[in-house]
Amino acid sequence: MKWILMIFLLGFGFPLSIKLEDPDFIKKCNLLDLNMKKIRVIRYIEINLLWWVLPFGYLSFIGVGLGYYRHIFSVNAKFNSFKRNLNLQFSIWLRMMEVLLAYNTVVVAIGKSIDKAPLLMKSHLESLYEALLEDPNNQDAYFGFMGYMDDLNIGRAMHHLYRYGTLGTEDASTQLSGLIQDNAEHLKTHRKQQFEDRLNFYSWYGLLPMLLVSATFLALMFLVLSNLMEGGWQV
Amino acid sequence: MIFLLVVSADILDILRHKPLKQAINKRTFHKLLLLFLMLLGFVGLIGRLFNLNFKYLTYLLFMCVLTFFIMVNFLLQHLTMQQKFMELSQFMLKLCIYFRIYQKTHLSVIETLKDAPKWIVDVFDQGLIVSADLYQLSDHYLMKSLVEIFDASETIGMLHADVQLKRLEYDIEVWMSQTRIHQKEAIKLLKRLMFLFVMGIGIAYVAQNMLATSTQIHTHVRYQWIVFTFLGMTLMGLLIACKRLTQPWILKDECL
Repeated sequence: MKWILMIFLLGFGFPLSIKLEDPDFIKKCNLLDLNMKKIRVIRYIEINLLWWVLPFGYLSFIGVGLGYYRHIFSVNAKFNSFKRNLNLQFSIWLRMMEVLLAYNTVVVAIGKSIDKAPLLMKSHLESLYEALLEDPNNQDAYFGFMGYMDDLNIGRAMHHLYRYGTLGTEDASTQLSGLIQDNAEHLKTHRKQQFEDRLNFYSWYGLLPMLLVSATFLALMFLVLSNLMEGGWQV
Repeated sequence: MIFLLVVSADILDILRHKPLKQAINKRTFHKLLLLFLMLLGFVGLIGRLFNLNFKYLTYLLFMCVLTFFIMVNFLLQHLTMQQKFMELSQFMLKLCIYFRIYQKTHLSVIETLKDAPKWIVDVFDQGLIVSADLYQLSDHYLMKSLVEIFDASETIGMLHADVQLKRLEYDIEVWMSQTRIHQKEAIKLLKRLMFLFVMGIGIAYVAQNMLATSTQIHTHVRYQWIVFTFLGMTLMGLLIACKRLTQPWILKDECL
């Protein structure tokens, strides 16, 4: 049975694993600019190796499952980290825009911000700037900015910038100022979160002394037992 | 061997930069020497309490010497980073205040540099373009915003500068307080962790005493090896925990 399935995996494993791929997984890989072909080949080799190495039974099925899902988990983790990073960088960019908007129009401010913008946003800002140079009232350019991220903060900020840029009313200005205050709070929260993540290390690391003591105690107990039984059991 | 592999990078770092030689004055040297002797005595006492033989006790003391120097190096790095962070944030705050008074970047920088630390003055000595020097000082987004306000105010006018600078000052103060609170919390947790390691040694001592009542295990070679591994791992654990002190005070994600 093991060998039949192995031949099946060798022959059909590659196209089958592609067929089973979630569209969300492919989308995330494309967003992160990952090499899909490389991931697929590594996954195919891993699955076949695991099937061959592991003893046939539940363990081999679990191993193959893990080999398949490992890449999905890894891409998800990378995507979450990317999104968190992008969120922070967007907030930092918005903080700079706040300064620039006090002295410039929205389009000029966006243009000036490109040089000092975070790396993740530069290319997107350049496209936005080019589109706005052609038509400063281009609603799609504003609303479509990093739309693939489907991020509420980005969407909301671009909506406000559009209103501020095209209508320029007192109301839009007040709303933008509200958004900037929210953004400042967001930056504070993010910093706090990062510091808390750093401190989390200590709560996990605190288990180490207890683990060391337990392991030492077990080893000493084993030593005592083997010492006591050196001459065999005395009945 | 594992211990040596783990600490080799830090030992090389100490040998290359000689931070102890640079930072220590006579008084601190005496304090550190006393601490070093106390630590050696403490480790020696623990070795005796656990009935370690001469060979393993020597290994342990050697590990202790290395751990001490690396830990002092970590502590010095932490103090240097703390000082630099405080000096940089204070410099930024003063710059904001002087700019509100003088409304010119160059003049404000000159006034702020009068009582600035040497490492900041050195950066400005290198060039004449103030904005570029400020960027060189730090690539934190608050510094970039500060330069942006200066540039815009000088070219367009001071109409919005006051509000912007006040908001930025508030942001810098929040940044300072959040970072200092985090560092205090980290030190508190590190001390708690050290206490846990000492507690661990205490529990292990009680356990080995209890087991030693049933049979004579101290003379056993395996006993010596187990206890030496335990104490060595404890030292290594302490070292890795202390390495967290060398994390930068300015978050990397906030730099552009």
